[in-house]
Amino acid sequence: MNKKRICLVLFILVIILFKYGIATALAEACNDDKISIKIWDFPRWLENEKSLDRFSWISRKIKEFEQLHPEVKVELTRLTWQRGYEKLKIAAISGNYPDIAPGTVPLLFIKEDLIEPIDEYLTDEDKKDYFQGALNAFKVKGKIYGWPWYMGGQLLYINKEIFASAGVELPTNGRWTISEFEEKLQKLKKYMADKPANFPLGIYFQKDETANFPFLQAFGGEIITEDGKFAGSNPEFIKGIEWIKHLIDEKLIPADSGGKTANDIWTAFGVNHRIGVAAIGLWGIKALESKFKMDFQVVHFPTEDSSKTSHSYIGTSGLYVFKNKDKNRVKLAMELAKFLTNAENQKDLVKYTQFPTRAATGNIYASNPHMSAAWKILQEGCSVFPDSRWPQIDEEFEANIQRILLGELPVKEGMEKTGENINRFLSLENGSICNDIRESSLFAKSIAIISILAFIFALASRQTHLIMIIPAVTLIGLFLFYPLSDALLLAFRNYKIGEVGGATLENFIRAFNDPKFVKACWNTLIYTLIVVPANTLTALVIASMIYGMKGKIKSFFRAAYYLPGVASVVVLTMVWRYMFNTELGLFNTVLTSLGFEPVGWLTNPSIAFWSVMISGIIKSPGGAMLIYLAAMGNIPTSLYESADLDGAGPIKKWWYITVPLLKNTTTFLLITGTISALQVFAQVMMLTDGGPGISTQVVVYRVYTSAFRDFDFGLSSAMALILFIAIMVITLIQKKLTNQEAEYLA
Amino acid sequence: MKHKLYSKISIILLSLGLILTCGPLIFMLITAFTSQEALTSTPPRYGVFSLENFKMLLGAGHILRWALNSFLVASAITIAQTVFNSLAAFGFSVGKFKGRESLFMVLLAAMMVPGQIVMLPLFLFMAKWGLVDSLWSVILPSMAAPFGIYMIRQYMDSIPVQMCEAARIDGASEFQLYSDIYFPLSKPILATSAIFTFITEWNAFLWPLVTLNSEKYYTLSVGLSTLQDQQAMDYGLLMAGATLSAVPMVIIFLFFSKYMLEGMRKGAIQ
Repeated sequence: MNKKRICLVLFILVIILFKYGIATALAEACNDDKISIKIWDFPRWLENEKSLDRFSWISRKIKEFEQLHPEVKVELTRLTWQRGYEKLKIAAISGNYPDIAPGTVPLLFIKEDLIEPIDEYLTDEDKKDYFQGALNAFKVKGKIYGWPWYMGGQLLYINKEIFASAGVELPTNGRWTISEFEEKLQKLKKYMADKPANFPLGIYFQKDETANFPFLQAFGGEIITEDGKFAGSNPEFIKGIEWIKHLIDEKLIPADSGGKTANDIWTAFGVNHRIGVAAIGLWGIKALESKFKMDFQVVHFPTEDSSKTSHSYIGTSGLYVFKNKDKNRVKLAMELAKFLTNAENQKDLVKYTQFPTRAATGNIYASNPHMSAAWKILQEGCSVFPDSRWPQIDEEFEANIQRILLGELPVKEGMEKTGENINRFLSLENGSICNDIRESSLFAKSIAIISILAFIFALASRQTHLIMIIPAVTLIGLFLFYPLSDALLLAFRNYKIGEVGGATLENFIRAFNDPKFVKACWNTLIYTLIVVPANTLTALVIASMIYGMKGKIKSFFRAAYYLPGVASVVVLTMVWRYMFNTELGLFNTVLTSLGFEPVGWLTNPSIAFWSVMISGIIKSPGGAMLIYLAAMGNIPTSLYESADLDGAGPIKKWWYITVPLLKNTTTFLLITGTISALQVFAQVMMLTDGGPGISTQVVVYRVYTSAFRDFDFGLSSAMALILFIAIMVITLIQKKLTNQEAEYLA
Repeated sequence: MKHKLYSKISIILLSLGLILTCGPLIFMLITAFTSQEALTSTPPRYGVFSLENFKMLLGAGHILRWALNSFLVASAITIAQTVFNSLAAFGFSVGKFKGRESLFMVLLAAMMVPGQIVMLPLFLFMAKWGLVDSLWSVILPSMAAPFGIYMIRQYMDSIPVQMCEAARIDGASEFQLYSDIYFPLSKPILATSAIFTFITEWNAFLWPLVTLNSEKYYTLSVGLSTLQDQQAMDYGLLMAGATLSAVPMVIIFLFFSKYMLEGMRKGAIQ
């Protein structure tokens, strides 16, 4: 029993390492009577090109601060850009927040009363030194909720090389009117006539991306007015949309512009130099200067006539301090946040290519003409509607703009409908949810108690089988059913201001009134109906072929088919996205070289969901294949031998012996496959983000966004409960159907 | 003669299928071994061999610590699940007690819950017990899994009951039945489910990210993600990181696959 010994050694190893880990943690906690301040930050710039540490700057500054305040110990938590904000939100809503966190004005947290205003700690000197716009960005109802750190924005970039070779002059002083802009694009188009996949301009409308809004607002329209009314259906705004549609008709931008993402446009403009003009964030300057070596210029967005100002979108980031009962701790946190964002330290923003928020920092970009030009352009900029419901508004707005540009919706009616939906969000004022969520419900508590009582009861009953089951059941009860019952009960709660609590079905009504959720339901169903049988069938066929082989070939194929399953979904999906790319992807390169038209795999709303399904079908049959192989090992060889005597061929043997005897396994795989397919999420999130339009929405995607983006846990739980019931019903039907068949076979 | 023809056809079909399923993996390897400069040139020149990406990653310092954490977490969960899941599966498969099937159905229902919905309450629960920011917070919630129990029970149900009865007549206790008959006979499915669990936990990202705060507890997938910039993704580094994290998986898989084959032969004899 050599393996047993290995397992034992492993187990002891694990225990020792844990003891060691806990002991050091305890030692750290005890040896310290210093005040500890927790700060979370995202990866920033690289101070040294040879290292990958994107936290070296803040670590150094923290040490400086600790020297100034010996009584303080600062703990830095390194966030990730990928899903880092979700971590912050979960921590905040559960009351486990740090003292300082980074970002733009945290409207959701302010609404939940978690953030300490900085007014008390702000001297008059500071007030004068900060740029007014930067302070205003953190101002909510007269109070300032964060230390502004840096400002960025969205700019229009020109590829000077393309302009020069096409013989097109650059706009004078970086300004152009709409007619000049269009004229220059037309000239670029002529120059590009013989270059496939080249376009004068690239635009995209995607969630959280404001870069191309100035094109929509070129005729003076705005999305939401200052007093919070939707203005997207006003004639000026409609004119802007129609102008972009006109650009599509003129072939100045790709026909599938409605489905493009920021990543597509950046790749086409910055990496492959196939686009003349594109709107990208400020970060593009550094990337184009250092890594992607391009001769470029930043210019104003085109305006209706030369007297008007352009409307780049700007954003201000800062550090904000969470509330704490310990006033001294708050004070120290304020000092740290102020220290990190003071004029001296803002000078280091040069490496980040973002603009300082304090005048005393001075002009740190004097030697950089691009940054100086960008600064001037951003002076005329504007910001998004400052409201915690903006992400919801934005999602609805961008999805409908995408649909309009893709020709799925007429312009005027489309915008009117958008307005109706957005006004519905705006009329719904949600109350605070934090405190309520932190208390677990009576129902949930009783589940925890039942789990533990069951454990004791089983031990007392002395029934060996029960005792064997109980560890697993208790663990699942505590770590799954207990939190689950807590979450699902939220579906029946009412969180409107003034009427918190009480049972209601309103969350369910809201779910079904949302066209995105209805679409998501259909998509999830179609996905399951197509992907699950396809996956099970391929696994069965491949496993059967491999099982029939011998020796090394068998081991080779089994390993080779399983291998892709070890790579993480993130990486595999990224490769898929690259292959699906409209202009450069593998599939379209093959299609065009064979003389076919390129396909908008992820940009065409009627195809995008099929692409998602393809990526779900063509993958390693790994798990299912291994289960089939294990089950085939259980089929007695005598059955095959007697079939051989009867002279049956391999296919006959497969169909009459292997397939029927694997019935249990097939049922198992179909059921588990259905359960996980109905929960499809990661691929959609990474391939299409639910777009273009609403064409690739799936249920769990809706559940996830309404919980962790909108903090609308009631709606999220209602949708999750609907999904849960649907899965249960489908599984029961499936089980019943396959059981009937089994009886028939017997 | 005919048999040989069939096996030749299957080899050809299987090889064709491999190109499809392994394509993304090969692309990952090529990108990982291409220099940054070649990747950012236009058009990208794939296949310009370089170890630059790996040198950068290994120079990042903590990568071994992160890998160790991932290994600890994944192996602890795998060992715990193998023990608890197989015990429970045996209980459900052999035991005869009241409410067996309904309890089993309740466990199955747990599989139907989208994990995302449980995240927040689970985090609250862990925080209440002071388990946040320790490897335990990642290990504890996954120590038993309904999917594993279901899978192993399905397999154990196909083991003939006569074996049990014979052993009982020889005076074996129920626990001996489990440890001397059912556990060894279920090796193929136990190995399969162990590989599943290990790989899933090794690649897990969101839950470790949410619950771990100190860098010294970061798992490999979370740690690698702290090296990425916000906008301009560094594909070379990303793919190199993915390759590095896939290598231990490949080794473990090869180790386990021998084990499975052994189990299968035993299964075939009975």
